[in-house]
Amino acid sequence: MWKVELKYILFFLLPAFSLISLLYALTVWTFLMSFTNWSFGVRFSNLKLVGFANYAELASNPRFWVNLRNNIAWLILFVVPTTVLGLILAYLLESSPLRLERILRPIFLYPAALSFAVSGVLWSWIYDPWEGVFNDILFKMGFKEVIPWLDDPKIAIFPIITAAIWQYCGFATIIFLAALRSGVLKDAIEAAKVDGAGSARILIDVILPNLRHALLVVVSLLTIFSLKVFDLVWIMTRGGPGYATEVLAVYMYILAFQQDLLAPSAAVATIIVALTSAVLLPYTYYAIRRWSKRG
Amino acid sequence: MVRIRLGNVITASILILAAIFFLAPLYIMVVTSFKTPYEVSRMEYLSLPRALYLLNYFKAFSRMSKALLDTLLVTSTSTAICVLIGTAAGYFLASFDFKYSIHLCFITMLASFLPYQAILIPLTVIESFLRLTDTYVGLIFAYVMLNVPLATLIPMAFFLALPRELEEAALIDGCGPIYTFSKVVLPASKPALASTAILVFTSIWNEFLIALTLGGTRVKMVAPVIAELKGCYAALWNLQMAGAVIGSLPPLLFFIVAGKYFVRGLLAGTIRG
Repeated sequence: MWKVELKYILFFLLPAFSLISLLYALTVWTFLMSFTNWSFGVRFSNLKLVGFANYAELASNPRFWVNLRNNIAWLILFVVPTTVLGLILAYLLESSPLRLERILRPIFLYPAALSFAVSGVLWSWIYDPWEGVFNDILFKMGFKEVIPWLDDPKIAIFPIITAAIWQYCGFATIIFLAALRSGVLKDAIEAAKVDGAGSARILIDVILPNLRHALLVVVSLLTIFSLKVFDLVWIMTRGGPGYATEVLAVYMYILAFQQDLLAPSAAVATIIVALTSAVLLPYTYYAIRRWSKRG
Repeated sequence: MVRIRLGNVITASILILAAIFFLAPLYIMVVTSFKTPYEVSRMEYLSLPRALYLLNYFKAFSRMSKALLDTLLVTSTSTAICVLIGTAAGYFLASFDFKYSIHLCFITMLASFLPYQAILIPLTVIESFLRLTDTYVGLIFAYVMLNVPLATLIPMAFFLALPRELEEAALIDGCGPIYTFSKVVLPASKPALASTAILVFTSIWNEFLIALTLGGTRVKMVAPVIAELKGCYAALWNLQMAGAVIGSLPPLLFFIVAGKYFVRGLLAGTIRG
C-alpha cells in the first residue's frame, strides 16, 4: 500500500538484505573455492585453479561414498517414519476430545525445543551398551544379550536416527494438525457426510488429498534436515565406529577444521548445498506461488 | 453410540501410550539429575530419587556458568538485532507496492533454509582474518546473519494477515510508513514479535556447529559445553543429566510459558500464514 522511495528501501530493507546478500556471497565463495587448491596457509596469490580435481578425489574416496550412503539412509529411515508417525498422531489428536489434545500436543512437541546437544547426550546414555537405559530395560525383561548399540558399525546409525525422530515428530504432527484443522477441509468433510460417504471414503477421497500441501512441507523440510544433519551424529558417535555413521556434514567439518583441507571441504559443502537445493528450490518456488495466490 | 465410545477409548489409549514414550527420556533425564552416584550405579533408572541430591547441579553449574552467561549475552543480543531488522524488512515486503517483493521473499525463504555448511568455511576465514573468532562480536555477527531470514519471514506472514484499515487510517492522517510502522503497526504486532523472538532465541541458544567453530575459550557457548560433559563426566550420568537440564532450561521455559507463540512461529517459518 505504500509507495516505494529510496529512503524507505534504505530504512526497511537495507540492513536485512545486505546480510542476506552476504549469505549468498559466502555460498558462492565456498562454491568457487572448491575448484582451487585452497587451504589454511595458502596465500591468495598462490591460489591455483585445479578444476574438478577436488571432486574427482572425493569420488575415488570410499569414505565419501559411505557418507553419501549414510545420508541416503537418513532420508529413508528418518523422513519416512517421522512423516508417517506425525500423520498418525495428528489424525488421532484431531479425532480426540479437545481437552486431551491440549495436554498431549505439547508433550509431542517439546523435544523440538531442546538442543541436539541435550538430546545427543541423553540418547547416548540411553543407548550405552553397559549402563544404558535401553539395554537395562531389555535385561530386566529377560533379554540377556548385551547389544552394543553405538559401538556396532552395522547398527550404530539406528540409535542416532531414533533420537532425531523423537525430536522432529512433534513438528510433523503440528503441521499435519494445522492442515486437518483448516476450514476448507472441515467444509469438505461436512459436504461428503451430507452426500452419505463412509468414514473410509472420507479419509481417502477428502482428507488425504487435502493434506498434500502439509505432506510436501513436512517431507521437504525433513529431507533438507537429513541432508545437512551434523550435531546429533557428531555428539553421539563422531561418525564412528570408524566412519560407519559419518555423514557429509561431519566429513566436511573434519576436512576443514581437523585436517586444514579447505578446498576439499568446500567441495563437500558444495555437494551438500547442491543436494539440498534439489529439494529446496522447487519447494520454495511452490510455497511462494501458493502463498502469493492467496495474498 | 457404543462403537464410537470404544473408538475414542482406543484413540486415547494409543495417544497416551505415545505420550509416555515421548516423555520417558525427559523423565529419566530429570530424575537422574537428582540422584546420588550410588543410586545411579544401582541402575534403577525409572525410580524416583530418594532425596533431591543437588550436588550434581552445583558441579555442573560451576563448569557451565561462564558458558551460560556468554550464551545468554550472545543469544539475547543477536535476537534483539535480528527482530529489529527482520521486522522492518518483513514489513516492507508485506506492505509496500514493490514489484520485486515476491522475488525478495523467495530469496529470503531460500536463505532461511540454507545449510550452515554453505557459509561455514568463508565465514571462519573472514572472522579469523579480522580476529573475530572466539569473540562476542564474531558470534553475534554470525548468528544475526544466519537468523535474519527467519526473523523477516515470521513477521511478514503476520503483517500480511493484519487488516489494512489500521494503516489506511494512518495514511489518511498523513503519517508516513516509518511512523506508521513504529507507532501503529509494531504496537499491534506483539504476538508476531514474541513468536519471532522466541524462535530465533531458541535456535541460537541450541545452535551447535557455529558455536563449535567460532566459539572457544574466551567465549563459550552452551551447546558445545553440554556435549563436552559427555567426555568430562564419562559414565557420570547424573552429572551429565544435570548439565543437560540446566542447558535446556531457557528454551524449555519459553516453550512452557509461551508455547502458543513457539508453535505459531514454527508454522509461519514454513510459510503457511
